[in-house]
Amino acid sequence: MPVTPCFDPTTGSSGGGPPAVSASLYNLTPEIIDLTDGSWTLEDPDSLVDTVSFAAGFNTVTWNALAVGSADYRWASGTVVRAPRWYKDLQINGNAITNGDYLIQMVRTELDATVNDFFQRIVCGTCLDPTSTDTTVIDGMYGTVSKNTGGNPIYGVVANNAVQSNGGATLVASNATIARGYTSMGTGMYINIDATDTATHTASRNGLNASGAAASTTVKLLVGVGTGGNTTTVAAGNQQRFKVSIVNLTTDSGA
Amino acid sequence: MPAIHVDQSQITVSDVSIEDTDGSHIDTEAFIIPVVIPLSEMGTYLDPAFYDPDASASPTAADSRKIARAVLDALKKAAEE
Repeated sequence: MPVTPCFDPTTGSSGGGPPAVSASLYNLTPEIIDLTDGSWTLEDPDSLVDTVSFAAGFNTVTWNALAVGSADYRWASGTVVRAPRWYKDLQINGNAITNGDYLIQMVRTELDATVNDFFQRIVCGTCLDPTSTDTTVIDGMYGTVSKNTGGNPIYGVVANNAVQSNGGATLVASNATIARGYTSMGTGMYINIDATDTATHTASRNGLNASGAAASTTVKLLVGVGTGGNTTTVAAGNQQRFKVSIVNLTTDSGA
Repeated sequence: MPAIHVDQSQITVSDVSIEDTDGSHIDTEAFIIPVVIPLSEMGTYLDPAFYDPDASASPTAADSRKIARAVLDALKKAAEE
């Protein structure tokens, strides 16, 4: 038999108390990622980043020359990735998040498609070892966007080294939600949106289960830039410009 | 012939960058069709009497046709939606 509240325990009035309210989870303000704020470390195995700047919410990465294209500079191909990436510990209110925690990360990615210098990709999300060039060690799950110079932006998610995504001329951004934890890479889903904040595509991609990393391994935030094709080259001075924002949540796994 | 199904509502069209069964990398825009093989049928599917990868005529034409038709019917329906 259900229990029916008959009085408000605080005021004593009849009919029970007010509905339970979650005090802090409505309309959370995302953190806009500023790669120049001093909190990020650049891992750039082949010294491809010349400069990075931040203005009006957008990061602009200026490249050194990449004379010979390779799948190694793609975030969605093969098991080696040597593309530049920025990283830092993922903390929530000063608490380091670990591989064993249950983490929900919302990533909004927006590419400035007018900066169209080469076949490019951006990733932003979580990983375990951003200093590695082995995708299975990096253990990443990301929101992503790619764009060829003659094509439309294509938004979606990258799980480890595989992408699922949808493109179109009207796309302006994508909201990806990554669920990872209990030592798994987890799963990423996305809703791509147009300029009217109307969904154009939804889809998801599963990651890998246990990577072998300990539950105590700290989770890192990673923002990566790179190329979109195996033979894509980059001229010195070419740029990528993008805005990414994140919200991170954990729950008490024992609750 | 063991059962084979397709999860029709979960067919999507996406740009994929994936690894095929043989290890080759594929970058393409594609229909993604989830094929559903009941665990209870796995023994039959993996029995060499049903499928021998070293035998060019395996599986039989009838079994091959049933598997192919499941996928092709799903593709046809998805393409017409």
